[in-house]
Amino acid sequence: MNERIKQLGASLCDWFDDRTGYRDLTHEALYENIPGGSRWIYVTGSMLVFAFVTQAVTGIFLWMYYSPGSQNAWESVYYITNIVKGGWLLRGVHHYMAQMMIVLLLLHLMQVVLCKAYTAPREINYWLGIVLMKIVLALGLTGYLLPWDQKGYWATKVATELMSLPPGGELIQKVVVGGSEYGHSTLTRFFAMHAGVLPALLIAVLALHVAMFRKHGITAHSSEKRPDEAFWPMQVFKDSFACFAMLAFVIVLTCYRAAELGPPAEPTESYGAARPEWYFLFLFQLLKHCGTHEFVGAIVIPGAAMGFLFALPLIAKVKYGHIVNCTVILVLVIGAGYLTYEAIDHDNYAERHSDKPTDPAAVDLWKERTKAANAFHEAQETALREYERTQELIDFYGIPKEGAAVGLVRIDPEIQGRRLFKRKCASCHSYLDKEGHGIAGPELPEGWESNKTAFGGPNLHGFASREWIEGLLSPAGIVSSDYFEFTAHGIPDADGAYSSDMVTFVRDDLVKADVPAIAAALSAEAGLLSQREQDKNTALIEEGRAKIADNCTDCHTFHEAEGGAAPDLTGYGSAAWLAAFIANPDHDRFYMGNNDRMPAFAEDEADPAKNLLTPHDIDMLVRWLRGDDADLHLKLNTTK
Amino acid sequence: MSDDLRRDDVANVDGSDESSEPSSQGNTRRGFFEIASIVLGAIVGVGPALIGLVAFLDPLRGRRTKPKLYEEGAGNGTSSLVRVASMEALSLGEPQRFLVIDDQIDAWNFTPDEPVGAVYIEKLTPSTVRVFNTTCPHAGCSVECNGTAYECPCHSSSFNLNGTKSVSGSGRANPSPRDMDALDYEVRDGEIWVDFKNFYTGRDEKKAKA
Repeated sequence: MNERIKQLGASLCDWFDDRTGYRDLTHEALYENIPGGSRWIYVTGSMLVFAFVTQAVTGIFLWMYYSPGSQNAWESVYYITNIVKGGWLLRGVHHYMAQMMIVLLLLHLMQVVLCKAYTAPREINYWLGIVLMKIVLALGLTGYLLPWDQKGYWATKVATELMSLPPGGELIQKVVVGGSEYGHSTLTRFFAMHAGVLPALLIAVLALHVAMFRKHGITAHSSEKRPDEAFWPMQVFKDSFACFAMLAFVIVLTCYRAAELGPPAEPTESYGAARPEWYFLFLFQLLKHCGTHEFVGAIVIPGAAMGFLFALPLIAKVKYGHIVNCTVILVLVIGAGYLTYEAIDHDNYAERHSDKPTDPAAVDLWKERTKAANAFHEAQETALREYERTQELIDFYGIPKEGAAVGLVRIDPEIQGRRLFKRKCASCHSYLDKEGHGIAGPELPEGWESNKTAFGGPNLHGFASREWIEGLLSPAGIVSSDYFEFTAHGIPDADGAYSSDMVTFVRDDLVKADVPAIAAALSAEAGLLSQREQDKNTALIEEGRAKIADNCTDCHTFHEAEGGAAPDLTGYGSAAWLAAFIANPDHDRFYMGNNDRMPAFAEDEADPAKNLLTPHDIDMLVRWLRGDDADLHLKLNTTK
Repeated sequence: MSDDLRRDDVANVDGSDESSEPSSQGNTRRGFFEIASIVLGAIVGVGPALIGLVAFLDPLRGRRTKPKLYEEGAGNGTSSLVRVASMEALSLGEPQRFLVIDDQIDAWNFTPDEPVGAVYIEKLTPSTVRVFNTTCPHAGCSVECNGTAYECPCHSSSFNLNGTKSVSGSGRANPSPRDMDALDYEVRDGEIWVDFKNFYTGRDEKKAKA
């Protein structure tokens, strides 16, 4: 029986071989001679092919979920990363294998150059290799945009902006971007390039590259000591072991640190930590060094380096040409490596160079770099916080059809309120918790201690909460940096007297024991979600209301009791009160012409377009300051 | 440098000639590397595809849960029923087509109150109706009602107003394997609430899609 099966198998194989000639093909593939025998150093080519195949396979599976388009791209990548089972691994392998390809390319190139494998008769194959390298770099660039997150969006935008520099570049840019601005067409084009055009080109050139490699064989170092070997099995083993190790490494890397996804792209919200993928960092840094000569940094120098790479086989024909080639390549690699290091170092300048330089000439540069690095890290932290918040919003509301950026992020007070505060309010106000985390206000002007003038405003973290009001109503608190120290109200004259009636009242007249009740009652006006439970204690609030009537209504209006020229405390800290206050603090309801320096952000009620802030902006700011949307579940339960 | 060495020039190594190996120890070593190559090659060959396959088969995992805001509102015991129409709007014996409006989960998008399907409702008595899914049980097209019968524009399935397959005058076979798919409903305060479901088509038994 066994014999018959064997016979049947053999005749099936014969039948197949007669029609396909597979035996010869396999034989040719597996028994290619390697002069000098198999070596580990020969694995880079096979690893590159394997890495590409992995990219093609994982890419096609990613394609089954990915949707190009500015309302779907980020959303579909979010879906792959967070919802689809195993999607994070799939995306991670694709993400890291792309980077492995770049590393391998570099190794492969160095190896080819140092081993002189680019010279006759292999010049054409070398040029094909350089073309392959350019294709792979283009794959990296186009792939970086596809998730449509802040980082990919802004980093890629820089690359396409630079495209317009050379003559005719404006047209190229328009064609690549699919118009003048980024949008749907940019994504559909980049995706078609990334998943269609470039891989097809790569396969075609790779086929030629491998065919020519087979024609010329390995550039071997045959020696007396090492006998020749066939490709099978030792070189196959080395190749497959190296590929296996690389795949395992990439999987481990993904488990250790999943492929990043930032908050969705927002074309009007620049991302301060936008950097290209690490293998393009040297170009980024080069551009920085070139200052205003972008053309030199972005086109001339990289172009010259590329031109040199192409010219290597020709240069090699000259005496000492090979040595020149090796030297220049090493210089280029070391230079690019240094620029990469420098870019990373500058982004982490603050912690790596925390000591102020002793040389006074270097202080300014040190300050500049520290500031830039701090801004970089802050932008990264903000991006992380915004991504996590977006995740919360998605879990709670789901992703609407208009996409997460428009349908969730743009109308979320936690994200927008904070952004607006930084832009519009932080030039005077800080927003810092007890530990000093949050948004810093303006820096203390130099020499301020000796010549105090108003330059800032109160810390608005926890505004209108009991704690905040109690701080305001304490003699030390009211003139502290959290409240009026940086305002006209909190700066004493030469005799140590304050011009502000409020400050004088709190320091001299207010009975300390009355403060908790007053704070409770005033804070209850705000109806803060975070104090919902405390505000149920109506006895304390009633007591406080009576005390406000006794203590405060000479100056402040409070419900029925009409006061004087100080801000109306009815509904203090409520959404309506805050919105009206931000709109115009100088209004008769508030400072009545006695306002310190706060601008009216929406003075013109009839024509919102004329104001500094739109009604939507004010709504975002107010809800964020009050923490209305901070806890979505609490918000929901309260509305119920 | 042996740059010019060509494969064709060298005929000394040929794996098919196992006897050229010097010793049995060498053979074992070689055997090990052959097996290791095949095993490792197989792993790297199918590994990436397997990872992709897990993600690809994700739709088999079943329905997604709704976002929390909508999940919490659903706890009123009527979760599977959807209000479709008012009894008042219907006239006896005249089937009307209505859209079924429900929360829709479409991969990454969640859309509350979105048309998710359509039904025909025919008022039989002041308090009872007949509800059919508009999907033809034959191949999933949408049937139309002409007032006296339901007809499918795709392959000419036709049904009586009571949902049973009709026989054409010419004796042509009705391609639908079963009667139209009736849906359960409740009438609450004059409102018709339907238990909306889609069913697998092209088979005799009526089986709801999960």
